[in-house]
Amino acid sequence: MENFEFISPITIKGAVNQYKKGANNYYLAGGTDLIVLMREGILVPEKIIDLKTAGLPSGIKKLKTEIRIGALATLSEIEHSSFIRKEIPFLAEAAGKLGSPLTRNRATIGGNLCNASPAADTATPLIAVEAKFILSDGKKERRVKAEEFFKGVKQTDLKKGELLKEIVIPRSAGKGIFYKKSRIKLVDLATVNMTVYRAKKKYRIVIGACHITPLRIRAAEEKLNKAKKIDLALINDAAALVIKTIKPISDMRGSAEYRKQLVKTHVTRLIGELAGVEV
Amino acid sequence: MSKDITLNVNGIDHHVNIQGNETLLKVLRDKLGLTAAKEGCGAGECGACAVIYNGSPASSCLILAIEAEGVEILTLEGITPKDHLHPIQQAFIDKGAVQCGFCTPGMIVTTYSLLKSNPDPTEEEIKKAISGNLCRCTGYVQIIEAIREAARRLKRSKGRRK
Amino acid sequence: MKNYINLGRDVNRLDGYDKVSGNAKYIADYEFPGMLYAKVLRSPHPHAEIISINTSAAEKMEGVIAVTHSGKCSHKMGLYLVDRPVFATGKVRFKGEPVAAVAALTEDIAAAAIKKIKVRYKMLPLVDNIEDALKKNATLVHPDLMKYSYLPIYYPKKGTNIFNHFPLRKGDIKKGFKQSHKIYENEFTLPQIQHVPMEPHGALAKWDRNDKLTVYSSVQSPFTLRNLLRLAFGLSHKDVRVIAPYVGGGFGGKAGINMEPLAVALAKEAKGKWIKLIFSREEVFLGTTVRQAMRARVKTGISKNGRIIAEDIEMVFDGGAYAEYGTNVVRAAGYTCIGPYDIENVKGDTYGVYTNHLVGGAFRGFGHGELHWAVESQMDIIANDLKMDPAEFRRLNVLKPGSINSMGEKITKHTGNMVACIDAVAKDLKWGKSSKKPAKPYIKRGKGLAVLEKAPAMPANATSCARVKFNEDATVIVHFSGMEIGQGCITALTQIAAERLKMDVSKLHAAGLPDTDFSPYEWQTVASRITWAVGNAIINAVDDAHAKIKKVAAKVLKVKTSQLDIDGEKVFVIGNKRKSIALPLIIMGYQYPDGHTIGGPVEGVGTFTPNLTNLDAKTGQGHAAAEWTFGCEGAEIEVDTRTGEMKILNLVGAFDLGTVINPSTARGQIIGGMIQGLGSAVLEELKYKDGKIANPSFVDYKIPTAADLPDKIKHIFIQTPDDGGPFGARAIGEHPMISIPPAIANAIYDAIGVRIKALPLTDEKILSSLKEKK
Ligand SMILES: Cc1cc2nc3c(=O)[nH]c(=O)nc-3n(C[C@H](O)[C@H](O)[C@H](O)COP(=O)(O)OP(=O)(O)OC[C@H]3O[C@@H](n4cnc5c(N)ncnc54)[C@H](O)[C@@H]3O)c2cc1C
Ligand code: FES
Ligand code: FES
Repeated sequence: MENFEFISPITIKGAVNQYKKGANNYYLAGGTDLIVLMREGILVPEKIIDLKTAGLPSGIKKLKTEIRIGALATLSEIEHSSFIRKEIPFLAEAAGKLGSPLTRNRATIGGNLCNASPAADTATPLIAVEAKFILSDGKKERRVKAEEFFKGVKQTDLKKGELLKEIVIPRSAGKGIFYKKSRIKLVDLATVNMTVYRAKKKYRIVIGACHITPLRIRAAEEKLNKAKKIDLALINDAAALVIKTIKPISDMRGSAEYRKQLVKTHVTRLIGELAGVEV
Repeated sequence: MSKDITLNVNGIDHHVNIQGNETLLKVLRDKLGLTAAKEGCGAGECGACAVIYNGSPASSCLILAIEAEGVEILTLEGITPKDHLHPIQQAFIDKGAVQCGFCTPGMIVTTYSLLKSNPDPTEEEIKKAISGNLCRCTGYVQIIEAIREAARRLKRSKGRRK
Repeated sequence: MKNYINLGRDVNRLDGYDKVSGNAKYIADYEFPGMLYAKVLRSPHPHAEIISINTSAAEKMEGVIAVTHSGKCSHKMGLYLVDRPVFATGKVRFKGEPVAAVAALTEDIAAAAIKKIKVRYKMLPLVDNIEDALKKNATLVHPDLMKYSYLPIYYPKKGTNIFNHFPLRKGDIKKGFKQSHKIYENEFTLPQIQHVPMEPHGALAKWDRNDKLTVYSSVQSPFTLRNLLRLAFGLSHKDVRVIAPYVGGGFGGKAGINMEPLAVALAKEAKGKWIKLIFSREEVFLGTTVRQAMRARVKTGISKNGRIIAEDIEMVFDGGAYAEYGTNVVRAAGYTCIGPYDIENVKGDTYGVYTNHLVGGAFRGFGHGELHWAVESQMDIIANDLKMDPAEFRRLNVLKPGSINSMGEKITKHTGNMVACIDAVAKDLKWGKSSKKPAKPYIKRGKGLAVLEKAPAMPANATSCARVKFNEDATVIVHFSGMEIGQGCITALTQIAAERLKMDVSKLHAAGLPDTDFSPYEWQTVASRITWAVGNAIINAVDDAHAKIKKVAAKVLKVKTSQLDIDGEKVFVIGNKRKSIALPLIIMGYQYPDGHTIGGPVEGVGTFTPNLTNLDAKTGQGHAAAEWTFGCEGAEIEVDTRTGEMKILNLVGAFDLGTVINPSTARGQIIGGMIQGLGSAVLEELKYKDGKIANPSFVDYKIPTAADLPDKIKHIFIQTPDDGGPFGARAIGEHPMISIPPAIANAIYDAIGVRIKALPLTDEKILSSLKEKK
């Protein structure tokens, strides 16, 4: 790893200002992505700006109509939060399936999202609950929909210097299920991951690791949402639409064909479980 | 960049000069002489470098030393009592949980933290807790047995103290 | 079982304290004042000519002390076939091959200097697999093959990529097939895999100005390393000293000579300075050795009553860019080629070929994991086709007392009990009863088993030496150079010494880690041979010490030495225990009341040499197996036919390991080996893209974690004492890894009727095989 300047700003504004001073500066949260890339020489930052001192909100807040998760909340905090486990158990599940306990004790949800891997484990549940991300450039804040935050492999809607401050999740009585398949049971990147969510009889289907970003499959959702009664045939039709939409690649973790089969089987299963239909 | 910092390790403040790009693992090993934590991968994948950082176990190879200023750090050296072994360490010996020993410091650190937060873990909980600590020698079975045995012993000694 | 005082019980590991306390030092834990740190420049190409190397910019950097490459260090190394240069010479033969190295004041400087070395390459055609290597007019990875030096027990082929061909001929293969009622032909393959010791390789070296070389290394074979270093660098044994700290896992990957010469080459350039070279995990993947890939074609002839009467097996190993140690993998697989079966007519041809892949070498099982993958899959195919119970088919055909094995060795009742191993596994799996029906129709369950055998693969002159040294208080220090690589040899060997000394093990201390200047000679810690071979040397050393005590005691007690016995506390006259001398009064010399003293400090020396011969060059017949360990492994699995997802419900292994010295460490070897076997069965594979290794990290080379354990896992000891082993013990280190892959593949077949012939048995492959079947 090459040397760099390490900066511990004490405000968001300070962090952004520092960031903007160069073309090769990076924010540091848990470091579980960043330090790996630096070690491999893929990133050679001039300045590392530590967000942990910059006054970003951390922790999980329960408000009346929404839940707020600070960008610096660790995956362990989310996994073990009794509140998240009760209200968005599938997000807790997703957090608990990311990396190992050693990783999760450091890795932040903000880092997982800003790293913007198509396989990021916390992305599909957040898109499914229609979370919004609060982004800050030190002066102004703006909100983007989770779904619109991801722009491509390792690409986000963040503008230069902007950072992810907080995640806002509307409270609802919906139910969701997260599923992740990897080569080994735990501590592996997803071959595929997904969240299927149901609130007020409306479904949301989000698939990860099968496109350049996590992908919400609206066509399949509509198929289910329009139907009067959900039966196996309809679920199969919806699953077929999912398969039609995703564009997985073949890589070290599995072939495109295999990914499609995994998605087909499990999206069917998850919808079935939420709809109370035996599949 | 380089900087003088104070690292609190095993209850002692150490004043050290570090480079910005030095990991906590490297500083513990090279500058503080605390070599129990090992580098097995340097990339957060193996757990050989685990230390208790701010109360929970983490891979010290993915922490910059410079971030660690002001954080309480506990290593295997700090877990080992002055003149005998910790019940977890003894259980690892008694249950045959050690072979080449390279994963052992990280395993014990992780176990220490697990049993602090969950004194009576199920087998599934143990497996999950040590899933980030790779061991190529043992096949884990005797490690899991040792962790259960350590939990029993710790409970017993706690009971006695009460 | 006999009544032993120290054997067959769970003596706690003698290295346990060191290892649980963090006290144990491994190679990376050593630091010496003034040390320099080394980094290696590696080839980015799998096969290319080196046009030029320019190191001047690197050399000019502040803090760079030494730079070296093939221009300065053109030595070659190799245990069996000396084909591997320290630095790529003339051309690079695999991606990752060392091209140059730098020693500097800090690691950062060395890393920066490496980047300043300019190398120009010209691409050469790629030899990317076994087919490429074998085809007519193939590109030769080593055009100079015949100029290399090698032991005369290997057979390279001129003008080809074949670095060794091991033929085996037994009986009359033509006649065998002619008499066969049915003939089966199949092809099986497996990819390269990595040992993945948790400790990366590392070495420290200092070359003094008086040309004395000292090396610390994470090494399985300190004496063999010394021998190969002195050969490569042209030194005398007396001037090379190898010190071996604890080894954080080896599995064959730290046997022979590895990365040490890189540190030594730098040490030679920076005389008097310690050079420290510790590999990163990526370098362990790129720059050490791997298990060779293999393709096997098996043709088997069966008689009307289900007996195997002919087998023709061709195995081709992808030895990678250098054969070196791997030459002997080919031979070992070659002489065991049919596995533990009694077959009258055999034709075996085992080849090793060069490719532009990572260097193949010794790996737990040493050719046997590979050959049993083919043979045990084939046996299952045959049994199923014959509608015979696969366990019964094996019981009928495996080696039994009176059988003649592939090399022409006769099996006796001391060789071990293969049938008992099969029976034990069958019982645990409830063989013959179908699995419990799963709740869902798309989940299918199945059971499979596979047998195995292995003997230590070593040359006939692989010798051992041990010493026992009495202290003043009649406690004993044991010296040997079996390496503690995790297998527990320090503990087991001390138990053996204690048993022979008739003392409790607590009275002994193992001097433990070897230093070639002080420790007795040991060939190598490989081939599962240490407890067995060094155990014998220790018994001889104890007997030697006892003889020395008796000699003095006989004078004092005025009896013949044959009238004396020793019980751990005293030497006494047989039949008259009161006529005795307490050991503390004699082990430093016996002093008469007038002060006159006879005898002296007692130290016993023992050696052990296996009783082996070379094998016939044309037929492979002879005696290469010092002892055999037989075993059987079984699996019960379930498959989700929708996704191919497999779950391992039960893994069981039964091994005839003779007398169990330490049940806990023996169990550790078995369970650990079975889980490593599980990794090789379902996960592990080094993948190539354009001849370059694509997954040299834990991100994409996955090994099992605790969460991947089967629901149940069990070890079973069968204990037929080995007549040549210490107290009847035999080898167990490698065996548990060997037949897990075929056991699981056979279970998959039982569950879903799909035969997978290429490892690993991933969920994805199961799914695609299911689709093909439809
Ligand atoms: C062993 C291991 C296993 C892993 N397994 C998984 C897995 O199973 N699933 C998975 O999804 N990921 C996995 N990861 C990847 C990684 O751990 C996660 O993506 C993690 O959540 C990143 O968080 P972090 O806080 O460590 O990010 P960092 O490394 O600190 O940052 C990641 C990137 O995001 C930027 N960034 C961080 N926070 C902000 C912010 N608030 N605003 C703007 N930019 C920011 C950084 O500049 C950097 O570019 C694994 C990593 C390791 C080492
Ligand atoms: S060395 Fe830190 S996790 Fe492997
Ligand atoms: S004991 Fe060797 S890696 Fe765990």
